[in-house]
Amino acid sequence: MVNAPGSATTRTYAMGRQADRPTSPGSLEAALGLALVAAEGTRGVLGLLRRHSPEEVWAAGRRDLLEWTEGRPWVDRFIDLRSRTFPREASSAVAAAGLVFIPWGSAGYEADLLALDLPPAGLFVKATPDAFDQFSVGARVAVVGTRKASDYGLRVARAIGRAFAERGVWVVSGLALGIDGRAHRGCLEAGGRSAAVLGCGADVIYPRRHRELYERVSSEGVILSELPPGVRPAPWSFPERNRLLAAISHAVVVVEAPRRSGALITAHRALDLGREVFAVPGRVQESVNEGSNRLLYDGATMCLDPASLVEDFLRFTRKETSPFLSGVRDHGSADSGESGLEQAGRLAVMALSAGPCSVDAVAGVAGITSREASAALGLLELRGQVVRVSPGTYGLSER
Amino acid sequence: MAAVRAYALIGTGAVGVQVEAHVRPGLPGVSVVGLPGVAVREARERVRSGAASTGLPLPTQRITVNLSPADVKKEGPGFDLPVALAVLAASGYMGTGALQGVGAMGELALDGRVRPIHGMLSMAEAARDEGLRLLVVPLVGLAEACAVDGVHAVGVRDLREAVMLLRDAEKCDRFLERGRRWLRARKNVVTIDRGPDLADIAGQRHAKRALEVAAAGGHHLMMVGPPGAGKTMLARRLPSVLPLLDAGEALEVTRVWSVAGLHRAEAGLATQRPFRAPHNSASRAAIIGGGSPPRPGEASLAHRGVLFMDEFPEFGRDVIESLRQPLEEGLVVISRKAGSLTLPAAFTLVGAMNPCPCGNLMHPERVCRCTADMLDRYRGRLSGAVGDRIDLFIDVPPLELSAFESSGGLDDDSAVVRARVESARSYRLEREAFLGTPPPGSESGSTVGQSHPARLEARLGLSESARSLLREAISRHVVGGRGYVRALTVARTLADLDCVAGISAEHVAEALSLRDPGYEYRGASSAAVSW
Repeated sequence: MVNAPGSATTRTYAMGRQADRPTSPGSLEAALGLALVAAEGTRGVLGLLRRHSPEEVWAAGRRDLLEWTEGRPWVDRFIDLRSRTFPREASSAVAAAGLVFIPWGSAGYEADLLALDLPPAGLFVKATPDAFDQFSVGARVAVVGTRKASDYGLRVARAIGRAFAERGVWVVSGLALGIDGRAHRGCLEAGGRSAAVLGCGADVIYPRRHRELYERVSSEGVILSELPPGVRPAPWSFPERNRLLAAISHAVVVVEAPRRSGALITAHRALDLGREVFAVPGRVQESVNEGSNRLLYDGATMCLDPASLVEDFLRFTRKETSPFLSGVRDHGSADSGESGLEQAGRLAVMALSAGPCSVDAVAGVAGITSREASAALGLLELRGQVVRVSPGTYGLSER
Repeated sequence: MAAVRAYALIGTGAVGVQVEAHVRPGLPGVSVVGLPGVAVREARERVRSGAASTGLPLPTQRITVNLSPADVKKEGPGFDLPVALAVLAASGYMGTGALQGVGAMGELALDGRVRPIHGMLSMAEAARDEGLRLLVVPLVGLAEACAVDGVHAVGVRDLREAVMLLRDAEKCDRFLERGRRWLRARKNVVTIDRGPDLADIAGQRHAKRALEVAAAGGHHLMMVGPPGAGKTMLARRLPSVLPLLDAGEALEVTRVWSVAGLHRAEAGLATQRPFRAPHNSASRAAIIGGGSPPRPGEASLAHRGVLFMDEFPEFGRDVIESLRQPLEEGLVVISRKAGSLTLPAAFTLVGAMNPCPCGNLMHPERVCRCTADMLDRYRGRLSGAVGDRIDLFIDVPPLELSAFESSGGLDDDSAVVRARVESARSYRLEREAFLGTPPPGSESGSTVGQSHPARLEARLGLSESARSLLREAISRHVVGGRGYVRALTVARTLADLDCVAGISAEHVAEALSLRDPGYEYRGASSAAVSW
């Protein structure tokens, strides 16, 4: 059944790219079994995958396991769980959830994942085959940050998402509220492709508020998770997700992160893996920036602006950009026939791109009169391009 | 028996009162009948002393003073002089015809001097309407009484002068001539003080522009900003950019202020537009008027000027609701058991409020501790009939920001802005006259709100691009029905300021930026934000 032609689980992505580690039906079942058992609570078994194949682990006897793990107490629990887990049946549930399982050792399984302490037994993916193929060969950058982001952080996240999208770099993030979501959106807006690594089953939409974003990423990009379908998010699953996020990306950009933040975990796992870490400077004495500024203090590369960040990323990772540029919309200069109001609006947007400010300040920076600025902002607010962030202060809308 | 005309104040108007005095044998004494108030009843003591000091002692006989009509309540010390003149005439100090067609007003001092009283302008108008041949007024109040065209007022310093000029026509002419000289001399002394100037404020160009628009269109204005942003400073300068009072308006203002006792009698007519800033603890009666006898409230004192209500939501709900009538009709009606009284109250309302009760909402450094409930209640005060009448809403950012941000040369001072406001107003009158209907006056018209949209748009000269922008605003639910009318009228004012017949898209866009944002500020720097 698992092997039936056309069944979702048997279709292996990126088969033609590097077939040096062929995937046997047995190893697929074993990997799926390990993924299921690991999700049940004996994650330690994944550590064995650094030196043993899933087939070996799945078939190993108690003595071997005790020897390999130097007598870890979870071995008996693993054996018990293993005896009650039937990967063959689970594979149909995976297919039913619209997911594909990319097992350990298959071509789609990024070799870098093996460098992790606990390599995933496989990845559950929700994507079109084409998208996943592109993802596995493309340049990928993780853009992460806090859920409770400031207006500034959100704006920068979006700009960074756009900037990477325009150079054809995959923007990978966690689909969370705040920075993550905004980075995804910025990328998609600019016609780029985005991937989300989830801390729950790849078919579980979390947070619920990001349903629409989830749909877009899954239809235009890639959603992946090491947790089997239907698994709800748990507090422990996010740090684990973050290590996967770090391993699957070629570099990590931290936009805004407080001192104890998942984004910092991602950054530190990336450092463990020898990845480049970038951080966006934030204002001092604001808790939301403590973690990201600390990264800079400790030697992370500073994001000067989105464009130079992309250049630095490409230089550090020596990644070729993939051919999405053709799809990127042109945000170039305005046509010559614009009205005075539109021109003032354009100038006002430029003035606001430096940060929210008052009507008078917009007028000053844009070199227009206060009433022109007023009219321009009235129009832009009407169109949803600017919002009032506080009394007297306009900011660019993040939508 | 002798009789003279006096005047009783009712609201800001005055009605004629016949003061009759009769002297007959009997127990010596003066009695006053005809619904006198306490101050009028006491007039007999001042009259007795004043007359004696002047060398005209009252006869030791029974003196009865009657005030007619007897059903009008007479209040205040203004009856002293007429009562004294009637009593002296009845006592034989003057010929019987001396008081024919004569009116008088003024308070007597014990030494016989005549002091000015409240409401002399209204009384002089009533005297003019009655066609009196002579009106005897305190010399100090001559300027105020003579502001009324067609009144024959003569100013007196004391009771003796009053008796002299009534006894002798030649003396009367001399006193009239003295009065004219006195008025001419005053004219050179009176300086016109326009109050604080717009040029005193650095930056805040956005707010200054809003003041200009408010002045040009007679729009009511709400300023939202944290404490110390300069909202009060800005509001105080609105009178200085309003057009100068015309003759009719000056009379209206002086009438109210004089009745309230706030007008300096020797100043003649008011030259400045009023600026009233009642505290938010003010009662409903203090704002719209009341008391017994009813006195004008702050709304009437601000007539033809500015009523500034700082901390607007902190005013009592009943106070805010009571503004509805003045905002809609430009007057207040005080209804009493005895009847209702109409007082003028056509003012420009300027409100100021904090973004939230504690004032720290969205402040870059401070923390707002208001609960969502508190915010709802606070903002809720603005909804309803009164909030709907406020056309202009502006945010006033904290001063430290805007002071640094204001760049470039000096801004226009009040005189320059006022010139633009005056030209906008006259342009509007011209436009209205051309269109062939009477102009709705200086207030944002209630008539506008009742018109059919298409007719209104055509009448106001909405251009095609402006129309489509306004349609877009409606379809995006940025403005509703009322908001549409408000945006349209404000846009019309902006076009008037430019002296152009057509409302352009720029005008509409600027009008939209001056609307009520609903105070749903987004993008909080501390709060969690969904994506």
